[in-house]
Amino acid sequence: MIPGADATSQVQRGWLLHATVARPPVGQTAHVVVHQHDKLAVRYYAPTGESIQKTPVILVPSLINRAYILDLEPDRSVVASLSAMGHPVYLVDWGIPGEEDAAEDTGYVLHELLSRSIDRICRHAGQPKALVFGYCQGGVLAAMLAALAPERFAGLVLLNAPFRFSEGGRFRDLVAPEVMDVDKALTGGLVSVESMSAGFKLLDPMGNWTKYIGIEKASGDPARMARVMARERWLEENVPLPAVFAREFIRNAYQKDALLDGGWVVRGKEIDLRNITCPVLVVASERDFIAPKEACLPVAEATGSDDVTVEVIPTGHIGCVVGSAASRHLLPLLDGWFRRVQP
Amino acid sequence: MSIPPFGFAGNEASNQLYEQWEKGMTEWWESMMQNPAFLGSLGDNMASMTQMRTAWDDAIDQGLERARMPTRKDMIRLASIVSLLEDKLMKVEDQLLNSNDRLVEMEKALLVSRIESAEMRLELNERLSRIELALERALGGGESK
Repeated sequence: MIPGADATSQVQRGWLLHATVARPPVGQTAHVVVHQHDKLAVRYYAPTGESIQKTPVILVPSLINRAYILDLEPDRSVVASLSAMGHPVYLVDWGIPGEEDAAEDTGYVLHELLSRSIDRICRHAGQPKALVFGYCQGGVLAAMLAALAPERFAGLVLLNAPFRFSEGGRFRDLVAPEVMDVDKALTGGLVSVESMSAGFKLLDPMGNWTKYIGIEKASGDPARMARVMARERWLEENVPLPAVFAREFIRNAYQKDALLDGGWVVRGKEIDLRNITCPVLVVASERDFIAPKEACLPVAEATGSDDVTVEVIPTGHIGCVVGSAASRHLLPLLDGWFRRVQP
Repeated sequence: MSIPPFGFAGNEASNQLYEQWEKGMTEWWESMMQNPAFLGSLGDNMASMTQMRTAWDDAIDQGLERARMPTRKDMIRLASIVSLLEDKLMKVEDQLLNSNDRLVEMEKALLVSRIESAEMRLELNERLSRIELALERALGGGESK
């Protein structure tokens, strides 16, 4: 008997399963594409149920994730749940940039891609305003646009979106100005998936080991295994970032904390979060080490809105949208809030 | 695939040893992630990787250029032109949609003014009828029978 061998054996078997088990399909909820621009596509999920709402709900994920994270599994899908609650749901799928998109900056992402998407969605829904839900970096971008062009915003939800970047946890440690010279580290056309993946692995170094034990433990239950593997797809399938955007974002957000302290200028206009006057819902997760709640909650005090709601959910960064906390906490919270604030 | 049965389950000493190792490794990683030298080397490493990749891409481009083949840069340039054209089309679409919005507004305003003028015409006709009636009565009242 070799002490420690059982856990090691579990990791080995988990690693083997991880390398060989097919990943489940994702993004399965029926939809139609209502707008396309460059690599971006806007997916529309028609509302069902008894109490159908009119105001469109726009989901904005992070640029570094695939949009399917909000439609990961049929029974754990934010888009499917919200549309079944009667909301017309639109998902912004940023797509995967190519080298030709290397010069895209924050101004392009906000004004050419996101703002136009919101405009086309409002036209499609026949409504003057929309309820915009931003997740993680998607929340940061949605808030920046709401500050620059608030006209189309009926409400803004910021889920696990960091704003006080000095409290940004381990990721901030990795990109702090004394650690990373962005002009040297983020050159070339795109920031590669490999570079980003290495960075994300360092956020939870031991998690890269212990996850194989979790995979091994799930191997006896096909449904659980499919769930674990769907999450693996989320973690594995990152998206490269245009280097210009990445430099601008890391410098202004993580190195200068310019969203709350001021000084982030986009196309000649400084971002001032006090320009956000629509109702705001700030949601943070208790055990989030990617966007710690200390980094997410300060935005509640920074907007110009007189209707700000703050909630902390007892879960982690991913669990809040695909774990049991999603159906227990997040989705009922969103449904109630959307119904309360819509015009 | 079939997984062989797990052979060492339930050994308490083994699990304790593993837990100690995991705790030790977690602490070690924590200390490394607080170490400026380690973090600095990560940043430098990323810069080196980026430089290496750029050099690799350039080398491939040079080879393709010598073989009179389209290079990666050529492809990027072409794709960029397509993207710029799409951006311009999007701006034209914006203008068309905005013009359409204005036309719809104008049509609405025109419809409202048509309705208002029709209502005014009706009102005027009614007033005229009333005046005609009053005149007829006045004239009729003045005639001797």
